[in-house]
Amino acid sequence: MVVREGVEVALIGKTSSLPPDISPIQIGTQGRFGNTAFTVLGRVRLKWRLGAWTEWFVEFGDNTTGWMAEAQGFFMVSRAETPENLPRQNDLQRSAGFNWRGVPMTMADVKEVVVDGCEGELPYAAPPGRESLSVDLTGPNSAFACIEYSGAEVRTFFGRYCTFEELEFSNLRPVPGWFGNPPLAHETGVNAVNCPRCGSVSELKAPGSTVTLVCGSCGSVLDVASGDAQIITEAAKKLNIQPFIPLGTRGTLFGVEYEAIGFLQRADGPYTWFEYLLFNPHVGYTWLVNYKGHWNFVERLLNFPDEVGNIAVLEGRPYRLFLRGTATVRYVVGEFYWRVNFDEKAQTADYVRPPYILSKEDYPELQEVTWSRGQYVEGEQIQLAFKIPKASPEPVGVYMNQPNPYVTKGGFLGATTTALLALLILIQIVSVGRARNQLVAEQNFTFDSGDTNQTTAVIEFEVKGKPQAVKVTSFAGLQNSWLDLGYELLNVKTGERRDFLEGLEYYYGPDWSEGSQRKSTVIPAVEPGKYQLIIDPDCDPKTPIVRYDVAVKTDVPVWRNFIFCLLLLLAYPTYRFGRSAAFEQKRQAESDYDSHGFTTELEDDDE
Amino acid sequence: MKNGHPLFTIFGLLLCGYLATSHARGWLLFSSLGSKHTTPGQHTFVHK
Repeated sequence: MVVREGVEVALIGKTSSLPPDISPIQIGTQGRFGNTAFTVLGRVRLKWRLGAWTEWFVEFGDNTTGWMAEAQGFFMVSRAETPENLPRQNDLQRSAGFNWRGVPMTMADVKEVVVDGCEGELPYAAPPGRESLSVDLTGPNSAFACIEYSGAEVRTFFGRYCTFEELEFSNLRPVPGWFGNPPLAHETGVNAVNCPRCGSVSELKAPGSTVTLVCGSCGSVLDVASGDAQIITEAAKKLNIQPFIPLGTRGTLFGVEYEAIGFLQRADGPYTWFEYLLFNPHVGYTWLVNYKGHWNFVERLLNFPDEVGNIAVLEGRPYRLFLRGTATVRYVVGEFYWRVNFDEKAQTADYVRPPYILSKEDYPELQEVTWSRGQYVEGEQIQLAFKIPKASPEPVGVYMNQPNPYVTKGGFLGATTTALLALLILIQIVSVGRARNQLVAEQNFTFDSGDTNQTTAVIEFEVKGKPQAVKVTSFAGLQNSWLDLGYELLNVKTGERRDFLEGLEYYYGPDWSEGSQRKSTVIPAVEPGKYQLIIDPDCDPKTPIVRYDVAVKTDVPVWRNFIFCLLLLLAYPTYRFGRSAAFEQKRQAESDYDSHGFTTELEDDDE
Repeated sequence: MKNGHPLFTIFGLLLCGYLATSHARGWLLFSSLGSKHTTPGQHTFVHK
């Protein structure tokens, strides 16, 4: 071990060997924190009551030093910095907050820590067994701070949470079995764990990160955070649950290859669901959650959402509270980065904004709160990603963040419908405005049914311009009587004829009436030319003499076609809207909270 | 369902095209008066 004090370094002795791990970081790895490059000089492996993690000592490009903690697939980069009001060790209390550089920081956890091993250059002597008290603090915008009390020494660090990607690492360690590297660890058995209870051998998939291994043979829960495996819990009742994704299977989701390393069954009352822990040495941990055929790809959040009433706001977007409950671990197998326990309980709250879901889990026993964001994934995508031979079970019902298939992406159907509607109305308005609606003939006639020598009633008129609709309006001042007018429209030049019948009838009493004294008929597509409208009347024998009027208008505006087109155009959007509303109703039936004021809309997948 | 939108757009545009043409040609939907005949003097009227 080399201890650095300013620019001087001193070799102060050998340290115990570190347990194998799958970290991609090694001494000499370079990265970038904001605008400053850094190089990894050494590391300390620390363990506490419920796990272990690695602190990498780094030197920045400006000759200052700091630490990069690596835990649970996250990185916390910090530099030595003293807060304005450093709390005394005896005043430490979880959830207490104070300002650090003007940033409101909250104590996330306080733990007693022991050095497990170290290597490379370090700023202080860290022999195995060195004890300290470590206090982690979190703040807005991924802010992170740490206070370490070791005897009379107090070290303080301020920085933030980072993802693997943003640190732009280079000179990484080739991780065995990943990214095209041969699986050396498997061949040598370095990562093999013998179950102290049943003796069966399990291969650790994420050594160094894994804290708990649940023996696949006997179900015993083993502590594998450091050195030899220790039994935490004897095997509980062994359930015969076969995970849909067998542990050890790898698959690529959202462009990242993951290996399924852990499997949980959790329950809330009668409701049970399955959770798969996925691991990638670079990206860290994610989950797949399956409830009755509905899948969610879940990532832990570094930034906690703001809770305002029944709303959680993340990155400016509101999510509505859907359910609260208590999740209990019922079955577990594989390996995990935390001390997993049967019957471990978490108070949960789910906020939805399809296809996303924000889940808050509060572990009162661990004094820990976590937030994660899930994205709904089709079962077929999971099956294809992990090359599972059988299809994922058909989803049952509507899941709380399942995208509504009847709501279009970005409101596209709504916009299209509006545009088409506007176009349709425009065409109608322009056409009606351009129609001449010209009265070309209007005549009065008297029909006497008793006069056998009566001449045929004829109206002559001319249709000019384009083919057009012609309207014939008939009127008779009928009083409890009827009149039938048989019309024949004759094109004088071509001899083409069209006939139609107009039946007028009007009856009434002291407080009722029926029928009409006036009726109109529109004759479509009348070609230009001279016409005769020949009228053959017939009337009620009780009123043998009837006076009637006939008016002819050419180039009349037509509304029937427009109404029909309008109904056809709105049929599909109306159907979609109805189905969408029914889908949302089914979703809401599963919620304990009002959805008032919330709309469902799909968002781009690549946001 | 997303694939239905281009079809819906085409369908809507066809409806608009039909409406514009119907105005230009004087067409009327569901009219029984479209039938024409050219046999002068052989028409008959129907009465009640």
